[in-house]
Amino acid sequence: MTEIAQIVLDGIASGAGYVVIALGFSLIFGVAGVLNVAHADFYMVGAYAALFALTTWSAVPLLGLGVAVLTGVVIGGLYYVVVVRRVGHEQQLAAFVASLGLSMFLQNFVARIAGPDQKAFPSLFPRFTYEVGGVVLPQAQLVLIVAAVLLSAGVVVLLKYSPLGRNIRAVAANSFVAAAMGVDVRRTMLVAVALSCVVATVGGVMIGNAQSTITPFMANSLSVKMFIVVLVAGAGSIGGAAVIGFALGLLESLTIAFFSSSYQDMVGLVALLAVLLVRPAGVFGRATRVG
Amino acid sequence: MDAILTLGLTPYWQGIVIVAGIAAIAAVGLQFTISSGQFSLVHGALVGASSYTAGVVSVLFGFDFWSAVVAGIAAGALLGAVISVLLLRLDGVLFGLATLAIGQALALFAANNDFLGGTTGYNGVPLRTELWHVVAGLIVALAIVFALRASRVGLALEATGRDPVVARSVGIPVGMIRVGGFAFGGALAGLAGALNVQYLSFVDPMALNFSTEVQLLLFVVIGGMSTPVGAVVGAFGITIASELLRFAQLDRAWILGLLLMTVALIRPQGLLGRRSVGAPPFAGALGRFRSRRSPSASASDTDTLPEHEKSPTHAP
Repeated sequence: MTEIAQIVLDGIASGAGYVVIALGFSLIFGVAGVLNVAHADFYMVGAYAALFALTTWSAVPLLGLGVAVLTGVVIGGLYYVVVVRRVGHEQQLAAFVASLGLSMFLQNFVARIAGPDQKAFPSLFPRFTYEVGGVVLPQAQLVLIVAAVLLSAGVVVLLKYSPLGRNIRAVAANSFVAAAMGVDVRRTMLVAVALSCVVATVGGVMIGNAQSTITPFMANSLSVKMFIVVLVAGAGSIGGAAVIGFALGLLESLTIAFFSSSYQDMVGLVALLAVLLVRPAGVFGRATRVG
Repeated sequence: MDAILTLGLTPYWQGIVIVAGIAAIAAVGLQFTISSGQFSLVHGALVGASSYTAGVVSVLFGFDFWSAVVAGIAAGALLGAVISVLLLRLDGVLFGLATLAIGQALALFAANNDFLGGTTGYNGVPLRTELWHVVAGLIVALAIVFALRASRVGLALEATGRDPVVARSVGIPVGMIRVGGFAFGGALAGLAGALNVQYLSFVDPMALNFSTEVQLLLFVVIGGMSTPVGAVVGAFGITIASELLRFAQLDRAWILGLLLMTVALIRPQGLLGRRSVGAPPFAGALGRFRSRRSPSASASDTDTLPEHEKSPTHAP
């Protein structure tokens, strides 16, 4: 019983990382029609920016988070101006290819500046491990899980109940009609893209805190999971991405427990192919996209 | 005789031409698959997987050079066909994303597999690839590609790449064309992989990773996605340029990334690619996502160009 609980908890903890990254990726795709492969690298940049602030200025956790938010806003603004506004819906493939180049650029540029090797990430809070009835959970992982739940719930609520969220959903559904109804499409897209990037950079700090080391190439293995989560959930489905993210983490931790860790990365792929064969639009996806 | 087989090049330049030629074979394969409307981001991983296959059969079963090449080609073609069948219902960028996920999952599998040597890779493959193998392979590959493009199959491929729905409506077996296009592109990737592993004597999971994948795409995008010649020019140009930039080894990768991003945003049809009036770049592979093309633009690009002019234009 204890073992099962531990396996489930581990799965939820690794799923939390997937959720944080997949959330913004899905949001950008839904609103701007751009598949941003470099999204996982944004979280790496956020983690490095926070690391720089924490080691050079002061080790106050809030400073790290603040710098990460600021980085997210800046990245989001730049990404909107350079990629989304230039290409977007009409040239999805061009935007996709550009994001591949951006990803390669960010990874290797950060490696050039900060060095290609692992860096220790200072812990934001005193290291502490909870233990309840034999089930252990490091505090950093709990923070990550809580952050993932809060961020995804926050984004879903924002989309569903705020005027801004209503505009974002309108633009995602059909930006022509949204514009005709008086929605400022460009501003809405800019805000949505910046929001996605902030979620990614804040998530980067949380993941760095949980893993305690970061590298310029750490996004690579995580971005595969991000693609799988988003494709299985259905591109553009935010709540779906959150559900599937946790589910993938669980599935992987069950695979490690009952088979072997060498199948950990294959199980998500098998699940992806199975879903694509049955429901190409994804579990929560709509069959056709408009606009 | 020797001078003919080495093209009279110094060993240093022979090495560069071998590396560039192998890259060009893989790039021609990728361009072929893309022109069938399947935006593949798994060809780099197919090259790697075929390298592993050719390496394993050489070391374990003592295959000679040509048998290993055939094994590599078969592995690439088979994997390509399987991937294409599995993803028949996807289109456009989501197809690309799914293939990227498959390729990277294969890379993670190779890195975690002890039989394949884990992260250190698979070593001890006999060194047997010579310059003339690569040159001959590239010439044969290009000859087959051009012959196919000039045939009915090539027209069907072009039509499928531009618009699968219209292609189906005029009786083209779109599913078969797509699977065939991926299998043939995969076979060329397999040829490249088999040549590469017997040139380097080893293959490691790095050969399948994200950067390799993006670099292969870069060859095709830079040269122009609409023509195999562009793929060859891109592969040779970038390989030789990176060799000349060897002193800037550490800066190479981010420069290439920035280059890809710039080309995609500013000149998406590539340096050699052409694009017909009014058609958005990459339009062919956009599939059902191509929602806002104005009717007038479609009409103009169909009406003004003769058939042979149309085929290699904006379809990537």
